Amino acid sequence: MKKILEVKDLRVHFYTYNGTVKAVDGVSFEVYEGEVLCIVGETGCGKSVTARAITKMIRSPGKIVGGRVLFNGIDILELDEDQLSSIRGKTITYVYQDPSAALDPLYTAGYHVAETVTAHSVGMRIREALRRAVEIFHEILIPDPENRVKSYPHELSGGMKQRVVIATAVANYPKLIIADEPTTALDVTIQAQILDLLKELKGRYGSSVVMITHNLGVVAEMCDRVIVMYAGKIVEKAHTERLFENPLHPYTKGLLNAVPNPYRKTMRLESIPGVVPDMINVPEGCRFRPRCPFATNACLIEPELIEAEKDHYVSCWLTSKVGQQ
Amino acid sequence: MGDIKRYIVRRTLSFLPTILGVLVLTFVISHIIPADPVRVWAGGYKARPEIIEEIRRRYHLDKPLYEQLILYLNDVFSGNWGVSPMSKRPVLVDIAEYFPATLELSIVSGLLLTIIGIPMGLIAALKKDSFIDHAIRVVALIGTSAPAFWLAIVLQWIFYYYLGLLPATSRGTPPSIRYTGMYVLDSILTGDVELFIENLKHILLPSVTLAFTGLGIIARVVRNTALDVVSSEFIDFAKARGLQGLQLYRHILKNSLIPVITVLALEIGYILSGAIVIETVFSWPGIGLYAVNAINSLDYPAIMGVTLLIGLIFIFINFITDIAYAVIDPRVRL
Repeated sequence: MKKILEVKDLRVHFYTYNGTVKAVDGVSFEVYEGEVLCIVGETGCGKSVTARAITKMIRSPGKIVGGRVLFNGIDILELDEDQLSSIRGKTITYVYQDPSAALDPLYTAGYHVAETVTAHSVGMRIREALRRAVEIFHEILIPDPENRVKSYPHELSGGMKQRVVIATAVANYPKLIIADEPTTALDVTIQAQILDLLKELKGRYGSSVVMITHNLGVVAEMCDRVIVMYAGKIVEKAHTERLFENPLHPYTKGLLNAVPNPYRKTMRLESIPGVVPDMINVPEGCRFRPRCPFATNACLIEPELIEAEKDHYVSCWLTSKVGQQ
Repeated sequence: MGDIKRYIVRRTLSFLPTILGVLVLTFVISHIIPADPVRVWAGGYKARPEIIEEIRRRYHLDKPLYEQLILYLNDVFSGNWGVSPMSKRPVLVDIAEYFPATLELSIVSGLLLTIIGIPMGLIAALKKDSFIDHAIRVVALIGTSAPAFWLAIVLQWIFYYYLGLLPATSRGTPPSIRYTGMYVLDSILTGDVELFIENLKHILLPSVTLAFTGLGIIARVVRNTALDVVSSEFIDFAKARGLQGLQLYRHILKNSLIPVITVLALEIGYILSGAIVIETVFSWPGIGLYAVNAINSLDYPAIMGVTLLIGLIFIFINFITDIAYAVIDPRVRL
């Protein structure tokens, strides 16, 4: 399969009054053509920051301090604002978490889609683009598209608004859609519809999807491959079935024990003891060490991400040959 | 746009009771003044009782209060706002003479407020925490905290006494033909360039003073809302969709306008209702000056007229504000 995006050793720091937060600390992964890659982790583990850093959407006090994001052989992090704007919304698009906040309340649903189209096609009038909006609304099963393009965000339900956001994301036939917790703000009944829609559109437009989520149900439903992040680092990376069948990192195991797992019989759900570490003073060595039931002295040294079995990477001394001294 | 039309009709209807309320209030207020106006008009303590009785009858002051109210309402709606016992002219005629001066002043200072205040706020927001942001903050602070009469005198001292550039008082010369009663506008309409420049010079100092007092509030409100909008999720998402330049600023500007409209409307309302101090310092024969004279001489048809006028002005401005809201923000059109 063809790689379309390659993130290498990405580092994003936030400079706050209390100190430097290393929100993303040396993250590397790749996205293949047509696949759905999930990034899972708790709140504050750096998954959203990673997603936004892909097109340099990091605001002050955040700063991308290192790494490369290769897209079609170009390093996106080297581009200037103009070039970035021509990529954002065209080849790499976003679906944000909360559609109520992502849409400008003063403009119609159709206008959002239409302006996204005109921003990337020279000389196209907003009127033409509105016709394209009707088409897309039709494709993503928004009922009565001719009238819905004229609706304002406050006149639409949460699920409809998220469909509008998705419409802006697919309007320019993107290569990569980055969906940042696209179902978190929605009713449970709507979540499945939105996931189905994303899956279907991905197939129709031939796009790849990077899905940010903290919901393992979404992972099982949607993803081909999974990256598990903890405290700004990738702790495990595998195909979805392998991860659910054979989780290697204690953190991944903990996550899976905390939700009902269709692959195993669990009598009761367990929680992971402790809390996410303070990101200014991160624990020395393995960052999961303070919460890990299997921690040893070896964990004071940071483990590398190694391939434990084919296409299954983990960063833990338990599975690393070096660690089993 | 059908929404908007329906909204305007509904708003108009809802203002009718407010207007009625203002009318009743002006009527009541003027009847509970502690002094006896009739005696004052008749010439004070030495007035003969027959003359006092005569005035009482002529102004229907011997009738019961509710009858007076009905008479008053009837008169107001038929365009008879009473005759001022002091100027011996109908109050509406007086108002027609004094109000254009205030209106003219309000329009010029309202324009100054808008075209200086809004960009000032936007610049402060875009260059947050820079030198220029702090400079604007200081200017804003002086504008809001310095007393208006002091500012007026300082400006007169600089531009009239010291530099000799601008006249210190009065409205200038009325143009040959009166269209609106506003000198600056009328001199444009008559095509008299020299007169236009002269009258513009006259209006500059008072309107700058007035604008300056409101500038601080406008600039601060614009700055704060613009900062809120710029850091909002939908602007972030707009950038994520590849919008930049004008396409992006359109979202920022339109969203920043909403709170500004309220403040701007309040400021203009305040100016229109007669910036009394400013009109006094600049000998500007506007509605503020007229009101002060009316109050001093207990000329209560005039007091009622001015009060009613100010009430109506505020209702009108509220009406315009509501419509401006509805045009900008679809959520208001419900």
